[in-house]
Amino acid sequence: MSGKLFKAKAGKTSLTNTENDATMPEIRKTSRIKLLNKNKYLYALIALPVVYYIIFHYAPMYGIIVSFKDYNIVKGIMGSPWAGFKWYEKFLADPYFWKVVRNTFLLSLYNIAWGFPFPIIIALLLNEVRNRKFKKAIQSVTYLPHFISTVVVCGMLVSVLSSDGLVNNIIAGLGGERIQFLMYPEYFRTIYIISEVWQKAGWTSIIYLAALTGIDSSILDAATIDGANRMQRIRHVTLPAITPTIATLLIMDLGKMMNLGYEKVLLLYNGSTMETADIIATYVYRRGILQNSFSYATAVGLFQTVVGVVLLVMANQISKKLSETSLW
Amino acid sequence: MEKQHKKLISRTGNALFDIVTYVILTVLGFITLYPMWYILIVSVSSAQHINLGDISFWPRGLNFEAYKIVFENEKIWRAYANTILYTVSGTALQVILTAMCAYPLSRPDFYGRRILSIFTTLTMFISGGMIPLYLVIMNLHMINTIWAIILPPAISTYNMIVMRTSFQAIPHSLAESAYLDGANDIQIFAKIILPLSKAILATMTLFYAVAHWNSFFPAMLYLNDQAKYPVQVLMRDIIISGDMTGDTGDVTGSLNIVATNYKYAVIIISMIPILFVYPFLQKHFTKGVLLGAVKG
Amino acid sequence: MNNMTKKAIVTLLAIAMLVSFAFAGGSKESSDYGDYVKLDTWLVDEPTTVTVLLSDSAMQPIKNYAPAQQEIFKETGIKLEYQVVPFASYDEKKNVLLATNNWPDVAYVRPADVPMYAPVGIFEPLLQYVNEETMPNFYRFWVKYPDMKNFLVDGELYAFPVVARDESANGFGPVIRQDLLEKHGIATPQTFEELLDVLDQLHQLYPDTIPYTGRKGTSQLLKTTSYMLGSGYGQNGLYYDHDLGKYVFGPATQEFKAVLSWLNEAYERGILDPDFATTTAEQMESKLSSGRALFFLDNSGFGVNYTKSLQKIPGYEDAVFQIIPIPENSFGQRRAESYAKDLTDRFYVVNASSKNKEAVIKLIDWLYSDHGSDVSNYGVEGYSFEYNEEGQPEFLLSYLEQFRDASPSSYYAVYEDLGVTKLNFCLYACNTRTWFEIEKALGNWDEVSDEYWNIVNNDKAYVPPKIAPALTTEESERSTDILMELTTVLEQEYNKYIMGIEPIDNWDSVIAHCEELGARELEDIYNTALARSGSI
Repeated sequence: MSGKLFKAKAGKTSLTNTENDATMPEIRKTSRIKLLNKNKYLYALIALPVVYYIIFHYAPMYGIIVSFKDYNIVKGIMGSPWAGFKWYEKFLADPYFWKVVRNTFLLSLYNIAWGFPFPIIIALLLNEVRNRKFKKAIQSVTYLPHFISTVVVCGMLVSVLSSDGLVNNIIAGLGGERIQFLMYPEYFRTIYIISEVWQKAGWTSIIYLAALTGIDSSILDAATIDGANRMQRIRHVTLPAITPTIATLLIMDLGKMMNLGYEKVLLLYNGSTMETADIIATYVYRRGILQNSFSYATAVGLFQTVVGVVLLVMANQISKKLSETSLW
Repeated sequence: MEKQHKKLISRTGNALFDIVTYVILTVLGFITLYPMWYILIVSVSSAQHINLGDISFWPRGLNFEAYKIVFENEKIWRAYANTILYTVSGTALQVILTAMCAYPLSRPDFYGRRILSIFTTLTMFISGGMIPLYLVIMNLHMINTIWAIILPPAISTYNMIVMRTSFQAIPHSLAESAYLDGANDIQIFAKIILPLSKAILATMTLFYAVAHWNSFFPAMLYLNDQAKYPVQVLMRDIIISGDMTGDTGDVTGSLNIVATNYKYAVIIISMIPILFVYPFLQKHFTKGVLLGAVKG
Repeated sequence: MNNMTKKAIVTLLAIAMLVSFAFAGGSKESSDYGDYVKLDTWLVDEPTTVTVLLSDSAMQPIKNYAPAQQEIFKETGIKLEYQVVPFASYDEKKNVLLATNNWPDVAYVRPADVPMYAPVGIFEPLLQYVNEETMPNFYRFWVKYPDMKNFLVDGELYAFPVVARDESANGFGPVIRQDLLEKHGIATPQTFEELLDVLDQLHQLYPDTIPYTGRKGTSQLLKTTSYMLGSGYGQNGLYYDHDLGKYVFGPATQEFKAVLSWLNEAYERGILDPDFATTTAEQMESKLSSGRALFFLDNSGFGVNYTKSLQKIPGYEDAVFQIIPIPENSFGQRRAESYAKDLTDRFYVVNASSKNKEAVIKLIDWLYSDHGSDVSNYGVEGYSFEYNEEGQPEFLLSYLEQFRDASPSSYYAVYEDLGVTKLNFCLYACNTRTWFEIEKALGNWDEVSDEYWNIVNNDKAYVPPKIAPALTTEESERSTDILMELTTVLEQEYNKYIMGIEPIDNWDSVIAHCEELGARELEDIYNTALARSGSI
């Protein structure tokens, strides 16, 4: 198993690993101990993080069994009576739940489709700017929205989109009809996604910019001498250089598709838009959190987890094939 | 002749490319900046103009009353000190632990790497939920202490993976040559890898610091003593509660307790410190940090 | 590591150290109650600490060791320690604290929490204490208000209700720009139909205005208007119909069509705010107090404040928002429900695993006494109040004077300073009584306020709300389930009818759907419980 493992890994950073690969078939028990010994300082480094993960991530996971129980506060998680699949049956049998799943999936999908490329474009454009002051100014400006809390962003959206708000004033100025954007289900996803892009794109581009700083400028120079124009340089040099970063982030985004947070939707939706706006998180919030049904909320949480892991594994496999980048 | 022609095309192409780039970025800059600008000008405008909704590009009825009220509020100052404490100590801890976790996982020759990668990645998707985590923290006697704020989020797996990817880009030959000089992995990590990773460390510092600065939920949940609250808990309260007064049964009704400009002043003030950190860290993003080291 | 990084780290650590020292210094402030002398009035032998979970309030921030708390300690020997949760996060935090059973001796909870958590056993059963001997002061209210029996869950009392002291109740009511009616010689509308005509008329005179605005979306719109218009909505659809004498699920009735039709007409005639489903409380306030909106139907007490801010704007010096008597609806009724008058919707529960239960019960009973109420509403005798000839407490003007121009209002500033009244830990609580007294003493009381209370108090349309009957745990779970389903379906329907996307006749199919989901069963649960409570 370990042999296969190393081979899979070696592809990416293969600068020095050739001899490792060559010795691979000989690995047996004795060399395993040798390996452990050779890596002992690395184990020392990772020991603390592992302890951290065990205490703050794995220990609380026993809470998942709550979803198979009728949680009683006094009896605690362990002492509560078993309920079998009661909670799972409850939500899986609910047609409305599936509508909510569909909404979550679609909202996430559109969000990734529109939201994912933006930071990359911003980073690439900024990378092309030679005037350092301008570059710095734009960079500083685009990350600003990240500091505004969701409550404030939604407050601003409601006022900008109201019938006497900025957007409608522009529409009316152009001779159009005023539209109550927040009251029709067909606009909800667009509004949500634009605000997400607005808030996150500049910020996320920082990761790509950091990755771009690692590009060897001599390669770019060589490309220029070979007569490549700027678009070509971006396509053939810059973009491939940050592909691992892009792939990594995309895999993670796909894995988190089902886990959209509730706060923003909760602040933006209303009865008229629920048809497209109600997502798993808001559904659970209404049903689970406000009604204190922890078992129910945990059951839905586990469902989300399973879907998330499946999506993650799928995305990872695809990425492995296409770009040789893998999360593990 | 032909060569010259090509050059000309590429030159005009270049200029066009530049123009397009600059125009797009300027528009983007404006779109992102305007709402911030709006918050700022509203915070220094008079209540009447805010109610009339006629503020668009410049403050109207300029006054700094709202800021005066904020500065006179002792609670906010204390919350500020708390936020700084949580952010600085939390971020330091996070960056160190994340790097410690990311480095071994970035090493292709690290035995157990696959298992540990899965071990860490899984936590991004599976969680026991709010109540079990609360019970764990309670049993560790961390409720109402700073530890409940800085320890549970100590490693963001997302950031750890980003950092790992970045470590992977450092040529392994550097480590190899250090081995020959008799260095061990911890020394390589501290003396070669970290100094070469300033860009990513700066990015992570910024990411963690901002996340800490903006977080309110753990503080709200785990802290019981008002004197320990960070700014965000107060800010959220100031922003939301204005919307909740005068509910049924409340005879008294609304009293304009949280004037919009006061609210916006708090938002602006809560953002300022973290805005100052950014340019400082941005310096480290400069090109060629890594390259310089390899060549030298 | 190079020098730069080292320097940066050293600097950061130094800052962290400095700040943490400042922090440690800051937390020292929460000192204790200081020296004490044991008095005969003490309820305990040794000074005892009782912790209380409270929700903070933006209007009246709650602090520890306020004068009233000091006085309570002086007189009873009980040190109150408040654990204050930010208002905006109160529900989440309280739920976690209760769910992990890690909460103070006493907690402020919402009415719905009581039946939800009571069966679990974390709340102390209280009937054992409710007798002449153990709790003489609470017992007098128990006898005086038989309605309290409705607070029982499965035959047991788990929460102490806050009893109001001399409360003037108002409620939802129609409030209009009176000055404009007078200016244009428009008569006060007598029916809801006329109301629309009047608002239409004003709209034509002032085309740039939004005649009728509201807040917090459709559910608030229905809460405020349904009962007056002949149906009802309560908090979530289910309401008590005083004319029929029973519980009804409003949206599943023919009468509800009258509500939707009226709102639809208001919407189509351009009277109702086109953003009615998204307007926030803050937007409503800014529309009304800037002259952009002319009418609202909500907590009518808001009008006084809107008038004050409006009059500050040049050109609006004479503007007045005033309540009008409840108009007649299409069924020929004039009806409205006021806010609770005697028994409020604030409840305190006692932790069953508290070590100081005895002290807690004694303290709570003391707070129900007249003197305990004086201290927890008026503060400290000789410092903030004095007793008059009739033995009633009265604020000292010399004390009130410092709060004359306080923000958000003098009376909230007084409450905050002393740590008193309803929003604090107070069981026999003043609200309007102290409010009126303080405003009158400081000369902030005006004619508009007088006229307002005159109209509200003389309008026969108002009836006090019915206290919901006690449900068994099973009934309570079932009704929550049904309501959840109904709400999910209905929330998506209302706006379609108000905006005229669906014709009103189609509402019949919605009613049918509600019945499928158990609307009638829900009514039955409540009416059965109602009958049961009547027979106790």
